[in-house]
Amino acid sequence: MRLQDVGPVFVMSGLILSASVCALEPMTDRDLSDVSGQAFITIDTSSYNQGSGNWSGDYEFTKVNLGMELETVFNIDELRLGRFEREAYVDGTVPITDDNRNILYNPDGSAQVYDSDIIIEDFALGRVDNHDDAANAAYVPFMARNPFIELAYKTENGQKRISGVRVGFDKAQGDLSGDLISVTGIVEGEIRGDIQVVYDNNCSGWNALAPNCLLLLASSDKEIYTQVDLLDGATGDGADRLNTTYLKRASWFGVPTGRNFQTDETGLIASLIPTLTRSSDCEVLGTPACFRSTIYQSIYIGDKGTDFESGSASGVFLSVQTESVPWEDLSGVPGSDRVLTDSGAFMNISRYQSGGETKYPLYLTLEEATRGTPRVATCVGRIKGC
Amino acid sequence: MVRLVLLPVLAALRGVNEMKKLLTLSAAVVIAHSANAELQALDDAEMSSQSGAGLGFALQDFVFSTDDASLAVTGIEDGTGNEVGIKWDQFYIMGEGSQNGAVKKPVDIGSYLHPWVVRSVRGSSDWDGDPADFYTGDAPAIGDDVAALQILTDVYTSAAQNTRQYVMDCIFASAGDCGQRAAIRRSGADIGSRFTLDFADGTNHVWNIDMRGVYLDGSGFTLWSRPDDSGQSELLGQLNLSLLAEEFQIDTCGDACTGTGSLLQIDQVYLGLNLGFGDMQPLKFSATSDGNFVLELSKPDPSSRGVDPSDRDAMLAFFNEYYANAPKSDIYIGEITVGNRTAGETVINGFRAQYLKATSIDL
Repeated sequence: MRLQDVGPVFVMSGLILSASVCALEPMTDRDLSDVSGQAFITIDTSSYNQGSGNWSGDYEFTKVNLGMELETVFNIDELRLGRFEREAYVDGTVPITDDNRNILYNPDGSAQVYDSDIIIEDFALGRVDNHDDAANAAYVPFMARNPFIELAYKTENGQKRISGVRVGFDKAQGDLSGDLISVTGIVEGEIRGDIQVVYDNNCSGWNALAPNCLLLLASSDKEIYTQVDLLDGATGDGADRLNTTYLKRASWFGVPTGRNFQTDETGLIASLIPTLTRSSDCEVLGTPACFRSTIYQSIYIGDKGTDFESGSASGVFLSVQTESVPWEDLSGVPGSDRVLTDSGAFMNISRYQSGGETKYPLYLTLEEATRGTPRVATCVGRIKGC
Repeated sequence: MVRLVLLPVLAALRGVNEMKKLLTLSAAVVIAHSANAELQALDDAEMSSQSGAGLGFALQDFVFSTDDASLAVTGIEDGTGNEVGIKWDQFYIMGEGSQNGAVKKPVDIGSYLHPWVVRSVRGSSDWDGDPADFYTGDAPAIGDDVAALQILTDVYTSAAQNTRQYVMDCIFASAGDCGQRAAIRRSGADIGSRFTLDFADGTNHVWNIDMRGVYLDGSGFTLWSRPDDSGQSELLGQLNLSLLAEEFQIDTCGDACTGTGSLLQIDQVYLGLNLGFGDMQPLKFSATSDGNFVLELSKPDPSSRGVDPSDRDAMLAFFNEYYANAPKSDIYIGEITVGNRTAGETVINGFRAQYLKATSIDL
């Protein structure tokens, strides 16, 4: 019998377990050989030294994988990660704004920023269907497979120190809900819809005669789409224009300045769409392009309506770092390599590869992008707050 | 029958002369059977002369150290099937001020007035009685038709000594008298250990973990059983953990260096976990036929209260009662620093799983 066959075995050396309890008898080798264990835990190590800038140097990682399938419906009244002082427009930190995108200032004249990297109120995973009929209410759990916890170390001048820790899942699928007050990290989605929606929003009355509206009218049957990200509500700028890899303490989401819609259609009119739909200062053709993150009350991680095997998302994780850490990108998206994080907390809900295609964790119609996504119920008898 | 196995094991570890421990047994029956290091196991005849529902114990002037002993954990592999060597050593439990286990300062684990308790109690909830008493007593939310086995740590009612109350008032909030409370709080325990991981490629990681000022009062684990759907007896449980460490450190530098620049420090870590709520939502343990384990925090169960599941109003009242009474969990991780770097604080406030099922699978 190989020792590995019985799973984790504890071997004491130097200790004498002299007493026994009642009639407990030690198992013989023969007894033990009848027991087969499962490889419930594996531990992997890896290293990385190909980074540049803040992520240069020697990194090592220890990843503890738990072989486990999880189903859950849970609520958290308040989640705060990475609470420490930050300054607006330093290292990608963005200021707090009012609903009209005006920056709020402290009495000393500095711009206000949220006190934590991630603040989510009434956070929940999973949902409750028929919540208003307690006799027929049904829990629809959030599903996850193989959770892991990973430690990152950086070695400098012969000293190895912990530089970050992250928790995540190999695969996950289900509803994630909450009031996204402050978000640090990468949250990616895609907006898709008919250009008719943009025309209807902007081209009433005399506006209909404006050149842009005439062009929109000519292409109103075409479907357009673009990626949406966290952005600075005050300027509409995304991470690239703030010279950072991701925004910190963001509370707005949308089409960042400089990005345009695309279409898969061909022809002259279709070729004009990217130019026509370039986002600037939170507007695309006069239509708002930036939205409060709190209007997206529920996000479905993975493909809704497909089973876990084909519809679950990979690469979702939550981490905290004391310094810059280049985590391995586990999304499976071709060409992906490292997720570059800085000190503080980080939430990664980004694109992933599933069934041979790259998918977004959040799909919105043009109407949903403006209106938001309603919260799914996470309690019986009430939407939230239980 | 109960045999005290703890002491002989410890004696082997530390040597009788060094331990200076006083192990006290007190109970409803009070077996004030204290002895200095040479505790003898009770035999069946002695135990049979005792009656009572529980056993309280306290370890006073307690020092535990594995010294040079080590524990090897085998059977864990990496993703490619290579064995990962895990060595566990330098495990100690001492009094606060032990300087990471270097100074053998004793600690009291429980006391005469506040012992740790192992007892069998009847469920406290008479579902046909006064609703005001449903969630009070020794075993709240467990029907009074069954007995439960409880393992409880020391319990304090003082606002300064009750760790959960202290944390809620002085860490999650800022009560006005926190300075006074901190000044009169008893000292906690120091607990530490070192883990060394050796990988097949020669990589080696050391986690030297030290916790200073650890408190566990107000924690408990309750076990009872009821018939499951098929009429078989099913083990049910409830975990209430209240663990505060005033300071938490991990040094990954290993023996080669001891520079403080590599030390990860957290000021105050608190785990207040409440998993399971009596018969309304028990924690269930089982195993699958292929050898995997299943841990399930079942959905709130209306049958525990005799509620007709097709009655909308009664079901709504049941869920409202569950939401109002089932305790939530709270986690606080103070500012994480390594040298002059910070990752900030983490607060998870008011966590409650309405349903959780974890099934292990073969990786």
